[in-house]
Amino acid sequence: MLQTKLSLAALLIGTSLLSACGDSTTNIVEKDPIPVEDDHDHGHDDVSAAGRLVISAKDSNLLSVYELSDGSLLDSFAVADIPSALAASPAHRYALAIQRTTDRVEFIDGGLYQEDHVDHLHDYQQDPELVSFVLSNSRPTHITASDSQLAVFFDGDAASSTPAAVAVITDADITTDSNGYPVLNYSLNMHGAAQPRGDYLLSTVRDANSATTLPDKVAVYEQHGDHYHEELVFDELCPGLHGSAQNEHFISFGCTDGVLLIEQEGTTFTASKLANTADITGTMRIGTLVGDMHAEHFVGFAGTSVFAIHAHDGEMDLIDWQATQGATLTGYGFADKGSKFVLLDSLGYLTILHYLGHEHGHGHEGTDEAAFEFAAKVQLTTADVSTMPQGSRFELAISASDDKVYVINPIDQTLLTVDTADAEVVATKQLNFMPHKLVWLGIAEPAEAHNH
Amino acid sequence: MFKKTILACLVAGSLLSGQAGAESISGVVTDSAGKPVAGAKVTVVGENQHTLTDEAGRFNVSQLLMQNAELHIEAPRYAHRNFRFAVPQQGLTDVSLVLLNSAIEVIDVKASPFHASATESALPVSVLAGDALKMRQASTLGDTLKNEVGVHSNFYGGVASSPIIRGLDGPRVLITQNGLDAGDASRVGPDHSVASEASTATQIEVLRGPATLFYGSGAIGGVVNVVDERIPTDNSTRAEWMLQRESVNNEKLAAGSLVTGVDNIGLYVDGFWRDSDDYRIPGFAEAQPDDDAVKGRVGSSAATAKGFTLGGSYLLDNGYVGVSYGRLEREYGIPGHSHGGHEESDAHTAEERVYADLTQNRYQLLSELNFSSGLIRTVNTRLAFTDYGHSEIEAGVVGTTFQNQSREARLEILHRPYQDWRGGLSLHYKFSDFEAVGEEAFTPPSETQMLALGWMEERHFGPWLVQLGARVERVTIDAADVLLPDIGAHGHDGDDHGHDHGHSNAAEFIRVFDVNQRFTPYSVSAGTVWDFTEGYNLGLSVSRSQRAPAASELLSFGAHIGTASYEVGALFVLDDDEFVLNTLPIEMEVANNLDITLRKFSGNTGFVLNAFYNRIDNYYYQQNTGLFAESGHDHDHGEDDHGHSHDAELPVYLFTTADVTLHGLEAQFSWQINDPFKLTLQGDYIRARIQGGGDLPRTPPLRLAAELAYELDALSADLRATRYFKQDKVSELEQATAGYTLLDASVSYRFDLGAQQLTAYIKGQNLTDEEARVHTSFLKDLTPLPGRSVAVGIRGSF
Repeated sequence: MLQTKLSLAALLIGTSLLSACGDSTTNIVEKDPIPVEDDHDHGHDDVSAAGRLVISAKDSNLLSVYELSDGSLLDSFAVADIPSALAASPAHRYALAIQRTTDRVEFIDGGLYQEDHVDHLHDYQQDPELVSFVLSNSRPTHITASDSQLAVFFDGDAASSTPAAVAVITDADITTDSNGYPVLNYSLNMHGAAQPRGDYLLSTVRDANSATTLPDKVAVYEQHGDHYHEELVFDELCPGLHGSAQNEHFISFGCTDGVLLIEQEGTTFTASKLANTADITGTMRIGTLVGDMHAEHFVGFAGTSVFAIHAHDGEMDLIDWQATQGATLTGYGFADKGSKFVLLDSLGYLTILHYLGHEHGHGHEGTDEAAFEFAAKVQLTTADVSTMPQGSRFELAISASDDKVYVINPIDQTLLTVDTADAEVVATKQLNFMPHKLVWLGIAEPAEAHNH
Repeated sequence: MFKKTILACLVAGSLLSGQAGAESISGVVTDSAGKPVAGAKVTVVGENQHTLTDEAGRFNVSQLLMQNAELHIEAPRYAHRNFRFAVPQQGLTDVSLVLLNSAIEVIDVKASPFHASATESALPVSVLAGDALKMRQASTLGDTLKNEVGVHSNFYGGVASSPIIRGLDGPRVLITQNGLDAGDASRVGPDHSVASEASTATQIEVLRGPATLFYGSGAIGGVVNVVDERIPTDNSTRAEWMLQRESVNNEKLAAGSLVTGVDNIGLYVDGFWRDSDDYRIPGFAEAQPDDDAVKGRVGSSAATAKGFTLGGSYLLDNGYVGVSYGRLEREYGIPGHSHGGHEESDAHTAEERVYADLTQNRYQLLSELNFSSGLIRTVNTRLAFTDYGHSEIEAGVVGTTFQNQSREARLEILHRPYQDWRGGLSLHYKFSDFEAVGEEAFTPPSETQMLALGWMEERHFGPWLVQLGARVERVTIDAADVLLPDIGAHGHDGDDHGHDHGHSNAAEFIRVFDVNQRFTPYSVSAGTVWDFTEGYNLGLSVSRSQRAPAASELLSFGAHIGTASYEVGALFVLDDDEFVLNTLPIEMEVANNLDITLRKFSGNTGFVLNAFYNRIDNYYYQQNTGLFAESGHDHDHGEDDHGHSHDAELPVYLFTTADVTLHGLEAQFSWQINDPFKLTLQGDYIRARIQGGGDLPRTPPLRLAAELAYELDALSADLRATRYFKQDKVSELEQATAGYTLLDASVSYRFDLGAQQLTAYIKGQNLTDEEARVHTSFLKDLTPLPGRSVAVGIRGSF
């Protein structure tokens, strides 16, 4: 009888129900969270404003990522080989681990970045990771950046007859693991330099008959899809070219006889030579240049002599940084959002200069104030600097978001935080490895608390 | 597969029918004075057969299937009685059945599988039916039932009021249509209307106290069952209709229903239409009116509703099987739905109208089959599929849409009396797929499933009727995307107003959880009805019931404008102004209930006295956290500082549990003074306390009512005064309310027009135009009861 079967079924169900009578169980699985995409006035405050540091260990392929807001070690990554240098991507999201001798650049995502949400910028904070994007070419050496582009100069290798090349990438190329970025391929090797300018690339040209690997000319290249066409080679020579920089209107290259300055006005590029001044004597030459998009001055280095170079006015003035006898420079750069310039020397001092800009360095109206004014000298260590381990030196990384400069001291394996406004060491962190190079990653301009 | 089995069962049942026996019973029904009772309904228990007594009180039933027949006799103003006979082959003739007259209305309760009347139950039951229902029907279920003893309305501005039984409502009171879940969203929010219509109902039953045995854990506080004839159990042609116009809100109502049929087919159709404007009030709507407030009306309280039902049944000798389809459409304003922050100017009022648009399609299959032999006496089957949706529309834009698709199956298998025990098993399955989408989607989408097995038995031991029952169920709640946003909840203490709270602790991510919750609640109950002397009985019922918390009580996280609060479910706990996942086990509610009822139901006076004591452990209630959160509602309006204004923010309420005690008294006294006049007095009182201090919110105040009714020949009239006392037993941050008295009256005149019996009536409500604020309402500070209202109407039947 059907009904009997039904009651039987009911009884069976009943028995199974009764076995857990009065019971309750909860099973909760957390899923991937949803990023808040709301349009109002919160959501950015948990993103680290201090940023992060990537520090490489000496003679090691390990890179450690530190969170600067609390000094915690977030993660460590092993790249293929020992990095010869570290650099940051234009937006400071990625660290480049340049492995010159093994022809490779790997990238670590620092995890802090911004997205443009049309009406506002949105900050994100994620865990750092080693990304899959890799550049592989011969002898990656000089890395130069504009606000949005990064030029990686591959020197090539004479021994293997590998020509030089320049890869120009953006943060987006790294994020999307793109291989559609443009590359300039040379037919010769050279120890050159390149400066990206949007669709244009200013890069060095070496005479095939030159005895040195240093180039002596600069050309303008225009991007066509994934490659560049040579547009123009400047007649102006730049013998022994080494070092380059750019700011809003000018691109500069260091030459043995002065500084080659190229001015860009729209699509027109004009070259001129700023000859060495009397301050440059003997074998001295400007071999390193530093620029900042918002600074009118380039800073040129000729050994420990530092010059303020005003490209538009064609001026080159020695900067008095009150150098200590016997000090060599191991690090430098604009700091505190371009309002300062810092110099790190081999004796363990960080010299802080105020960058006052053009109106002061011009000498008119009777005032003769320098563009860079000595502010302070911070002694970073009391240790005997002669005990510096062989092959190590003081290195620095400069925060793009605040006034901090981070210095590694290989003598006692510490990481120092220097407040450039107060000119003092505000934190010292003991590292459990021998630090070698470091780079700052983070969000330079955190999104405003954009109110409705 | 479950459904298939039931279908097979039905087919088998229809094949088994038709074994006609020759037995018959005839006789006469009289009252205790020997006067014949005309028009008494004589029903053969367990068979689809009934008849009415003629003028001389005579009746005849024949072709009885069973040798041990039971007759159930019911007549207006008399207590129902059951008589049992052993019917010999040649039949029984000239039996004399005596009914005892009663001042208490006695109506059969359809919600019980035993078809007992209200006076024969260990649990207190009240039934509103017939003319009383027609006179009290209102556009909402809560307002229809608010004069029933032990029942209050949660008065949501007259548009969405639902009944409160003994201080409990929401997920604790189950609303059913013909015994099957109403399948709406009314248990989730007080601003969501009950998808059921009173004007086409034949009776509305209220089971006070835990009825979890029959209905499951959703009925821990009681059940309201709306009964209509959408699946007719006979096909004698009859119709009812009514037209009414009410003054206070210009409500126009037209409703009607028709039952007919041919041969073995019964057919049913009904329809209704109501349309009302904003209702009038004697003073200001707000308890603390603004300077520019306007007197006299409650905004956004207009409603329009229409619906129809079609049904058909196949009538068998031993039962019936039928299906029905009903559609309900309702558009109603949501008063008090002012979204803080932007107080609209008058010019904007029209476009700022906030209203809900509701549509429900309901399919039901009901069947009752009786068998003359074998173990099984009766199989009752109920199936339902309900597709419900309502959208809340603001300024012409859909804000939030609630969807509830539910399926339900209930199978009751009653066995043949064994050792004088009557009873059976019930298998019950219910599935609800609930979803809310939009800015007020405070509850994540969830699926709730319930499978239950219940067992009920009753037996007479001399004057004692013993009723026993047990039920065990499995409830699962699955929600794949339970959200835990950081809402920047913050306190408002001190003088930090105007600062940037909400800016400093907001998170970057919304955490998401996949939640699977399983409960195995059980209920046991034992009751007895003791007929200690003729015309009296004493009912005693003890029960222990468990309730699985509803999805909304567990999973909510968001702004709920209906309650003007930010609701957070019990799955979360507060940790230093921040909500985190609750790591403690989720407990079930456990109610231990004791009910004592003393009834006198014959003679010129009658009464029902009831006392109850209900202790509920792990009672889920919303605790005010003292924090505020943005309603998430009104950004981008251009005001430069409203991110800081507290008007745009809602108090945060967190579902927590506490042990509570509810106890109270309900009393009803009726006196048939003489033939036309009858006096009824009633009162109810409840006390709802949290153990360890504190009161539950919105507890009904003490209420006393007196009604004098006149009924003679064609004229009937009544005058009713109801006193609601002040309620100052309030929960934290709740307002006390003052007492008020409502005076209602009505006069009806009956006359015939051809074959039709017509009744013209006039009724007045709140005749003294009293300003009354309902303590049990969420909107007590915003919407008082309607002012004086006069309704005129006419209804007819044939």
